[in-house]
Amino acid sequence: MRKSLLIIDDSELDRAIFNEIFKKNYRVLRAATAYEGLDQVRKNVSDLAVVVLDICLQRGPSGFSVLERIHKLEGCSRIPVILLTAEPEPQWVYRGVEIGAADFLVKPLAPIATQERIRSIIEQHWGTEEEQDADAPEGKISLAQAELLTQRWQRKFLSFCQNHDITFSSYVQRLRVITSALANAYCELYPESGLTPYDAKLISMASGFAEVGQLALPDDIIWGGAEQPEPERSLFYQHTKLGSEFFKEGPPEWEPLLSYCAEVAMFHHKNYDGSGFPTALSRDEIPLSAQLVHTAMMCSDLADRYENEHNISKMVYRALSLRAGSILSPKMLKAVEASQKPLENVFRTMRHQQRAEDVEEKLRVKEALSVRPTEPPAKSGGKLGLKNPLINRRPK
Amino acid sequence: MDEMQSCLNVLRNNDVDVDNAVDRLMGNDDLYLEFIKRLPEELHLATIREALAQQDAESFHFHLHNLKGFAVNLGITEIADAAQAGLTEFRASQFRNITKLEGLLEEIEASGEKFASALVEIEEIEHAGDDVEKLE
Repeated sequence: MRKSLLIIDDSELDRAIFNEIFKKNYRVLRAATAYEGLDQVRKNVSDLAVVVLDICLQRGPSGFSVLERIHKLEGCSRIPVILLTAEPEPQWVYRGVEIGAADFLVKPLAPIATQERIRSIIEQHWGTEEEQDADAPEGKISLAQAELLTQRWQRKFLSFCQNHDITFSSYVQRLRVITSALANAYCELYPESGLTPYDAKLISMASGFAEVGQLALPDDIIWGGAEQPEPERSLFYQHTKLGSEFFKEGPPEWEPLLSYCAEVAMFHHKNYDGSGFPTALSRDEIPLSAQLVHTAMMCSDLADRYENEHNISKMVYRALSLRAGSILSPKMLKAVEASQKPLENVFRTMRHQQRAEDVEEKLRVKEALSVRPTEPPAKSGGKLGLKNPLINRRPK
Repeated sequence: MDEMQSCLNVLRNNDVDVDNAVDRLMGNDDLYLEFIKRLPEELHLATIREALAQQDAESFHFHLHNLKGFAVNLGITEIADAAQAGLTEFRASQFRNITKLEGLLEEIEASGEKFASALVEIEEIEHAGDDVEKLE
């Protein structure tokens, strides 16, 4: 279980307060500068549960660049970083969320609320204490090794994707958190399924590679998606097979991570009633790993659709309940219902991200208008204008 | 009444929100006293005034912001409020209203002096305690 928390803050008093709040339950590491903080992160990669980072280090909002640097360190991309600020300016909050902050805390810290928020983030990212301590069965890959491998592959995968769209990284992160919530709920609700907390962790790691096969397709086929006419449509669906092939014949010591990745890549477009792609298998023949990721993808898509609704999770649940028995299994719907709290957290973050994108889009348009007042702003093809073809064209 | 409570009462009598601040430190009143004794060195009034005179926005904001954080955390409400008012004024109009900023710094200074007297009183209580311990 991850037992360390790191606070990076140039105020000795704030570091001391944080230490008092958490010292009973965690090993609290303290750093006064960005340099010290990054050093502590490097030395404690496998034990760090959370980094709490003051936005205003020294004399400016340099916390943002520290956050980015932390996530670029080997094995650190999943460590949740919570930003700390005395003045929660909206543009800082949006910027923080956009570059991957897990949450915000406002000074002065209220001890009980802070403990609760951080505990919830740790559970959301790493699972409960019991789940974190889930041991690997003998001869199977350890969770720590699986995490390291996943991050390494993920980095390569995202580097291949970076010319498509920058939002893919946050989508993968979101999918993993949703899958993790669903898989944990499924374990608890249906122990007879054989799904253990260990498997739930591996499946959530595998979810990030569902679409890896799309890298082998031409861009216009990816953009055409599932709604384009034949023969392009069939070609598009080839990405499931191509993705699945990618994970076959790996070293046995990486199992069952590789099998889960292959299953997810192959069946993430497969509906419970047998419709979807590929044509084989239906109902409980479909691997549970793929059912979980398929449902997580639907949750994510529906949340996008209902992003302006007051209660996104309620709308998502309602929409999924209409599809129970056809697109997803009734059991899976129960898992969605049981995951309400973590899903609400994910959807709240999505809403912040959307707002950040809106603010940036407005700024971009404003900037374009001020530079070339006689010309209309160029059509978006840059940072925020295009939705990711890899995530935007999946069939509902 | 023990020595610690006497010291904390001195602060309470000087309008310090001791109880919330000690709660923030999870009840660690020794640590609270350790930090609160550092207020005189954390004020940096000369530096803030110099920044104001030079219209050095970065330094002015940095030191005032730190002072506000320190005072808020330790429940020194008078200083925290004046520092916050200074930051709000500065964000709204930078150095355009220097008289107002100077007035707020004077308020901080007056609170700081009142607070320094309270600290002297606390030291006396602690020394008296030390003397009793030596006699025992």
